[in-house]
Amino acid sequence: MKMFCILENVKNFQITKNKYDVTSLKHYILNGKKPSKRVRNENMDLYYQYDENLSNNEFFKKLQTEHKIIIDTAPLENWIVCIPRSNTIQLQKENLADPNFILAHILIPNDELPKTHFTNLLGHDIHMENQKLVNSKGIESIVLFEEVFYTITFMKYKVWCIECPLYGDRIPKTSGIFIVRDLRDAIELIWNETQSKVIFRKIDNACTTYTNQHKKNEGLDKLQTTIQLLYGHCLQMLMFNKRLKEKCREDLHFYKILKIALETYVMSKLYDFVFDAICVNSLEEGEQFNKKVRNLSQVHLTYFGIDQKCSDLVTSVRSELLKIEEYSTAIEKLACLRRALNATSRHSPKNLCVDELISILVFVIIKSGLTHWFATFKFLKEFILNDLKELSDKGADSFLITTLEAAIFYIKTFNESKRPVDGPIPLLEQKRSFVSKSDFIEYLHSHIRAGNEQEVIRLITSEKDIEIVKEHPTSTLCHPLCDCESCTVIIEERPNVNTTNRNGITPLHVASMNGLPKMVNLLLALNADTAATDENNWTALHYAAARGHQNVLLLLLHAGVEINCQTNDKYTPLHLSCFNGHQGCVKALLYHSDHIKVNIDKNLPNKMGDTPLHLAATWGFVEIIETLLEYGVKIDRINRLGHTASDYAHNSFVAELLQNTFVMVDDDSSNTWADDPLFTKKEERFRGYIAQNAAVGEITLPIKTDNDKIIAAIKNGDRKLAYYFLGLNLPENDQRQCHPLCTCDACLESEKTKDFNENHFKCDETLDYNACNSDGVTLLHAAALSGDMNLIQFLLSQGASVNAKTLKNETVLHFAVKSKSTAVIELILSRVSDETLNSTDDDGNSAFQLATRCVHSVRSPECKGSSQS
Amino acid sequence: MENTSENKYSFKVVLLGEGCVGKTSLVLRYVEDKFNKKHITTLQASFLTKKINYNGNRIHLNIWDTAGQERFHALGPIYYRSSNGAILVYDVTDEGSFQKVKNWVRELKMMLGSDIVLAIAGNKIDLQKDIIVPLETAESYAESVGAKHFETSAKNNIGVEELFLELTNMMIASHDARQTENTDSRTNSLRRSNRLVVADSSDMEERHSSRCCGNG
Repeated sequence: MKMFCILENVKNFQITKNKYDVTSLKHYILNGKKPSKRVRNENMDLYYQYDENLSNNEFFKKLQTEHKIIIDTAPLENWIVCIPRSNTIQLQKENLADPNFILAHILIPNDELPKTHFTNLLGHDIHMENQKLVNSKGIESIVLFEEVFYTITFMKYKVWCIECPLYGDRIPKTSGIFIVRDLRDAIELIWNETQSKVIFRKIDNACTTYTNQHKKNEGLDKLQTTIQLLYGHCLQMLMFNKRLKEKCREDLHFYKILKIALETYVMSKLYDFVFDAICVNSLEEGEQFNKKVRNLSQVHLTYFGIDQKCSDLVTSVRSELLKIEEYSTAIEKLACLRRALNATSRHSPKNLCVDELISILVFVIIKSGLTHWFATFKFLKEFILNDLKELSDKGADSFLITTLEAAIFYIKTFNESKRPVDGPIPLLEQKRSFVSKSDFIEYLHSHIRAGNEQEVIRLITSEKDIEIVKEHPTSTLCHPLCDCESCTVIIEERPNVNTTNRNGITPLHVASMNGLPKMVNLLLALNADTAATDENNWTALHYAAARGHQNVLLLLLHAGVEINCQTNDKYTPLHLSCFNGHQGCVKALLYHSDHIKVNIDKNLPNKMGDTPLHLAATWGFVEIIETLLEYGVKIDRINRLGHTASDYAHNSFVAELLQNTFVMVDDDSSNTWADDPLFTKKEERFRGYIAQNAAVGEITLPIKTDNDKIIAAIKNGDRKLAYYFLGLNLPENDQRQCHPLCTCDACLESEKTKDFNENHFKCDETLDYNACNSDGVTLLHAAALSGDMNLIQFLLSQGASVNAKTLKNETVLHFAVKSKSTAVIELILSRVSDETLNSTDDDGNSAFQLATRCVHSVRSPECKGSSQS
Repeated sequence: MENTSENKYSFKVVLLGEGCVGKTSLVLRYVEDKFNKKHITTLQASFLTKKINYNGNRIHLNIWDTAGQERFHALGPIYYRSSNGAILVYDVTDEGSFQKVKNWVRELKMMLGSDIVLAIAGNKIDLQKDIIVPLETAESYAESVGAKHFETSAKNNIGVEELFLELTNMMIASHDARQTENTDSRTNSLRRSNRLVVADSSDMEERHSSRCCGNG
């Protein structure tokens, strides 16, 4: 929200309409944008911005030629040689003739305080204050950089390049050295030097022309080179100013800083365009990254090896880093990053090493709630150009960007499976007596996480065998482990399948959040309460949806969990799946509601008034947005801040997606598929196709929207979903029939399991296995392409036709060949009719021709043999 | 000593080694002549620069600390790519840290080949009694991988200066060797540097335009 205001203000400020005086520019920056806080230790910035070759400095040359004795003595006496930067020397060349001028710049460190107090060779005291040398006359001079000179005999002495001479009556202007720390500095510098509004207008026009002429999807490389050209063009315009050109010629440092100022200004004008271009060009990467971030959002500080004591530190880093997306220039973004990382030194007793730095950065990125980290990183990595790049490559900026890259890379490659279970590892030996109820629950939970079914059954079902000491807050035990009669009281209330811990977590919650379908199945069979909620009103379904465990989610849905249940913060499971980018779960939830005819409310607002679409749009989960739109969610819903989902669009691609749909939904307020104009069009195409095929005497293909989804699922390689739609068990889940539960006498008759399986069987019969999608692709086509033998065999056994053709006249065999799986091809060949075998697709290729084309990659002698026959 | 020509080198040096072998102390000792890590910012502790002038050559050293923990192992290449030199630090009182150095050497050789100059530093030699890794073993190992071995103590300021100076020398040699290799066929490197000087002092416009805009 805040960000939008700021962006809006920046956009509203039209520099071309304003008067070009510094105050109005300041006014803009002060009011249009939060004033950026000035960095405290400014000298650090200077430290790496200023550089000169001291060997060419007149002062140093003079020393070397006429005062060699000083140079020779310096290493022996630890003298420090101060050299005023070359421009100030050139202005006061006459001073060089004065020996005192030279002597005033040779410092002898004080015996007691060698770092801060000095005496020069004239005997005057000089001290250092915040990297500034101050003499008794009050002349201040910043130490710009230190260079250590080595003699031939490897003796060394320090040379400090300073801002201005320390000796002389004329106190030089302090504004002698220029720096650019932010956009304001940049604008001020250009304005002060040119005093011309024309140049600003010209640059603005050039930038506007650029953004109009170029497309965001051109590719980042091309944008980069064209921006370079634009910048070069702007620099030329700036250099038309004769006086400025002369000044640049005289002072190379000024020239460098001016170019940085120009780049900063130009890039700030292009920022919105470039930033969005980065988002659009790295849609998928950004999406993946955001999904990782979202799914790690619940982790605890200690998970990244950060000391609990550092929580203050993390807060201060976070508060600095949150501003990074507000800044529109690389300089400010980098300064923000630098401040954030340096904020660690304020709170930490010791300095942090790189490992800790990365840990903290990773943690803060995850907890920041910012949605454009990947683009921010890309911007810093790819769109710092020219002199600024040269500068940042050498300095600490490069280290900052690398550290950010390391943190981003770490999150990106973070392996969910490496994530340790949130609790202790179970003990190997069976535990029979427990000191308290919470001890028992902890033990039970650890076995659920580990998937030890037998132990879980024992713990939940067996009446005897388990002793739990009753907790008596009032009476005390003889000693903590006492088991005398008065202390040991077997708890009357037996632990059951719904026993909760202090946070209201039931065994079903534990199994669901850890994604253990077998365990969920077992607990459901043991009559676990599916509607049980924890302290935040989360059901097991919420956990499954939030963590993306599609299989568990489906099991729970089948067990009849309320699909629209809301947490304390009014999140539905659909919200959580959208929030965390679990496309599979979103599809499963929506499909389930369609299939079982349970009404899912896709537009429920959460506490902040955000619908699932708001969340998906904010985080840029494109596929989820597409799925939601496909299911006709309302896109005009506003949240509590009065924003629709498209206001929160992560990038222009998402925004367009939402805006284009807006019209469609508006035209047709009902959400059902049949009334959808697009759908009717599809249907017409179908009918045309069927008529065409009917003439040839082929089978007629009834229309079924369900099959569309199944085909899409098979095509996308989403086996779980596809199998679920077909009512099949995943091959690896086949053992479900023979897991300990079923062999065990007590549980074999469990109604729950039976019901569940029957439910499954019912689903099968509602399907037509010869239905096709809009391209004429049947289930068998899709299955053949996926190369899934189980699925193909199942479909064939259900009577799916091997001779079906797509709209492009491709047979199942064509698809089988494309799958490059010999087993599939063999299977299809054994069933297919001769006519189909030799039929060609619209491109004129028979399956055999297709096979020969890819024969170098597949060995299919059988295929060839049988085709020839 | 006529050195108007700008012989400027900018080197990136990475520090590799296990957590508590004293990587930061070593650099801090060299750059700031401090041993205690107090009074510097976090960034200063992990990224330090030093300008030195030696034999008329200006050398800008950027010294990078890197992630050392096992879980950040995959981040190594992000840090050490395009570096000119590496200092591999181990603790002479800790055999394990020396083994780690060997792993790092193997990885660097694999990823960067001979482009990188290696220096191995056995730190904490002030703890004489506890020395476990024998000097001979370390030195012969260093020799076998084409690295230079140093014994250092950041605490007592032993061998630190030598380590960095020698490494700098090796980097200059390696850099120049590559430079002449590249320019051999085209033109004499000496002539080239002379020409650069002329461009430098007479017309800054030309020098800069060639670098910045590239379009003239």
